[in-house]
Amino acid sequence: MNAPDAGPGTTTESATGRIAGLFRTCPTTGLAVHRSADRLIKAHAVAATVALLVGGIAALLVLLTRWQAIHLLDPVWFYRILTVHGMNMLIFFIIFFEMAVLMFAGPVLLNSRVPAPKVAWSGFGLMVLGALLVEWTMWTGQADVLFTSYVPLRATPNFYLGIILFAVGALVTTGVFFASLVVAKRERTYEGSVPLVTFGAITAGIIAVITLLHGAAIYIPTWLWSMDLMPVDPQIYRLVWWALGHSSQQINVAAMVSIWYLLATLTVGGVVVNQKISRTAFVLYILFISMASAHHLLVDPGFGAAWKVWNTSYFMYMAVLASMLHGFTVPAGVEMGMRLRGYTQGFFGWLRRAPWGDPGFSSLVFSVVVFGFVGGITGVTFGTEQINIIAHNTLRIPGHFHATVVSGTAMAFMGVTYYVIPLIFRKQIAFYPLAKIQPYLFSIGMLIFSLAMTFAGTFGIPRRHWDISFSGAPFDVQYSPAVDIIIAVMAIGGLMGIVGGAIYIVVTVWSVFFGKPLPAGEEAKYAHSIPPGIINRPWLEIPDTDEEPEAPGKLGQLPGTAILVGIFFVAFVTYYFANWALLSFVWEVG
Amino acid sequence: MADAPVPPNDTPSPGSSPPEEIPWGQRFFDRPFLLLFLGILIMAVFFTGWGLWEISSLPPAPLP
Repeated sequence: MNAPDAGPGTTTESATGRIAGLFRTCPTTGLAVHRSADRLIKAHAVAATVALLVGGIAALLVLLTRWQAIHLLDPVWFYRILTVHGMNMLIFFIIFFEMAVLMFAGPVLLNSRVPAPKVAWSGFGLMVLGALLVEWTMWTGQADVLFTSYVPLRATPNFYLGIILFAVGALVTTGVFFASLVVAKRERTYEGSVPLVTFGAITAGIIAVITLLHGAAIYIPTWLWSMDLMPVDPQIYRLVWWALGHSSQQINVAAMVSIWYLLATLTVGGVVVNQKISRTAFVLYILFISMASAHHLLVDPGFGAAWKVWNTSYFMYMAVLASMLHGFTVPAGVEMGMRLRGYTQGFFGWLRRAPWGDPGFSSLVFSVVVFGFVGGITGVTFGTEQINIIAHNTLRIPGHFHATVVSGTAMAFMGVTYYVIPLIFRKQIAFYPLAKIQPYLFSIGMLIFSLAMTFAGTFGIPRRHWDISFSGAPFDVQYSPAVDIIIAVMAIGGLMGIVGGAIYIVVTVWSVFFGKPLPAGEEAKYAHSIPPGIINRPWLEIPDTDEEPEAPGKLGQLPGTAILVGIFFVAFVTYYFANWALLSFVWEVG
Repeated sequence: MADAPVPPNDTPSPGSSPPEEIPWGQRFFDRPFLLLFLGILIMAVFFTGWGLWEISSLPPAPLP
């Protein structure tokens, strides 16, 4: 058995010897899959997709309103739907999916059991109950407070209660994941260290605990405040809330990077070039990434420069270093895997011969590239205290986080779904030709959207604003006429992305609920409806040798990755200093 | 939670070589609950605690 776990931990016993009925053996990977884990993964994945559907419909309505030429919704419904969009995309979709990732990376990859299935199901139940309560309050107009719900904006108490229930449910499921690590170690279901993908999931789990504890610390008082039972200071709210609001997106980052390693192995037999480097990068996330929340508070008057600089520079840069390490090791692992499998031609022969028709692989590439080149570079730049002053509350900020959360995280989650459907749900992928083009449509659309949004923001276009023409206002605001064109380009990109998202939902829902089964051992017959990695199992083609693969030139064993990393650094430096130049135009010295 | 545990198999075979010493870094990384503690501690001290202290140290605004 050679499970695609990308790590030193390997199973110590054959899955076939496990207690009959409680486990099934995955015919592709050989992993013993506890049936409770199977069912929990399915339930969380389905709930995530429902949230994605609701959030996606809201995205369309928001987009058609911000596109001034259409301006669809009235202001009340715009802010209502914007709240729905934020909660569903940034909390419900993402965290439901992350809980599925934890159930996969813990019990499944460790060949272990879910230690307390009933507790895990109660966690799921609380999450669903909380999400439904929040949906009800938002759609009925009792919580038009946006995703941030800044005090003193007040929603109905049930809105805050719903979030608390959801957070407690997620915390329970995360606790079951940690318990599964203890059980797996005690029962010796693996040897050595846990696989790297599991280590990444541990990172996500730890950040989830940090996030959810802060969520409880701020939402419980806010819930009481909403019933006039205690006061809440708005500045304290902003501080503690952002430890939830931003850190929740750092759970995404850790889960996404784990999926990168998993997809690299599944799609092209990618290897882990250096375990120490990859694991160190994850530990840097654990220790430092949550402090990046401070960059939301860079223009707040309540904090001194030392607190701001310490949290957003020194500590955040440790997390940035971690992301850049992963940004090197993931493509390096892909290149090394491809070269070891014989694709050694030139600098980029490995990339040309990669399975671009595999939606898992194309999703991986788009996720890495857009997250790094657009989301990462803009994030570091806007997180700089001085530059933040010209980017804060403009469209540049959502331009940044749509590149990270949507093009990065959501794309990775979508890519791995194309493997989860056949491997976990044991179904063929419906409308497979559509599934193959979905990552291209979604990613290119969202890339256009993010770039146009960021560009519009440099003209000072505000974020979260119903009407940038300020019609009926007692003052006159004039933007460059170029803004209309940029907003139209943004809308076209957004519509492409929404079509890509809709294809994903149709494909996954149809496959799971109405799809044809995938008989075990007969995968090769269904090459027209499942990703090629499941049939070819490229991780088995990696030769068991210490010989290094052939590589041209003087750039080392991984010349293609070295060139790509060089391009990244040039882009990074150019954008960073271009923003200092922009700052100098508005803030002249002397 | 009624699933039966898998019995451990930790009996060393006779004549087997002594186990390799695990580097300290790997031992550190293999302790998820220590990492969890450190993650919470650093965030609680440098972001939340320090931030709350800054807010509580603010002088009252001289309102008109």
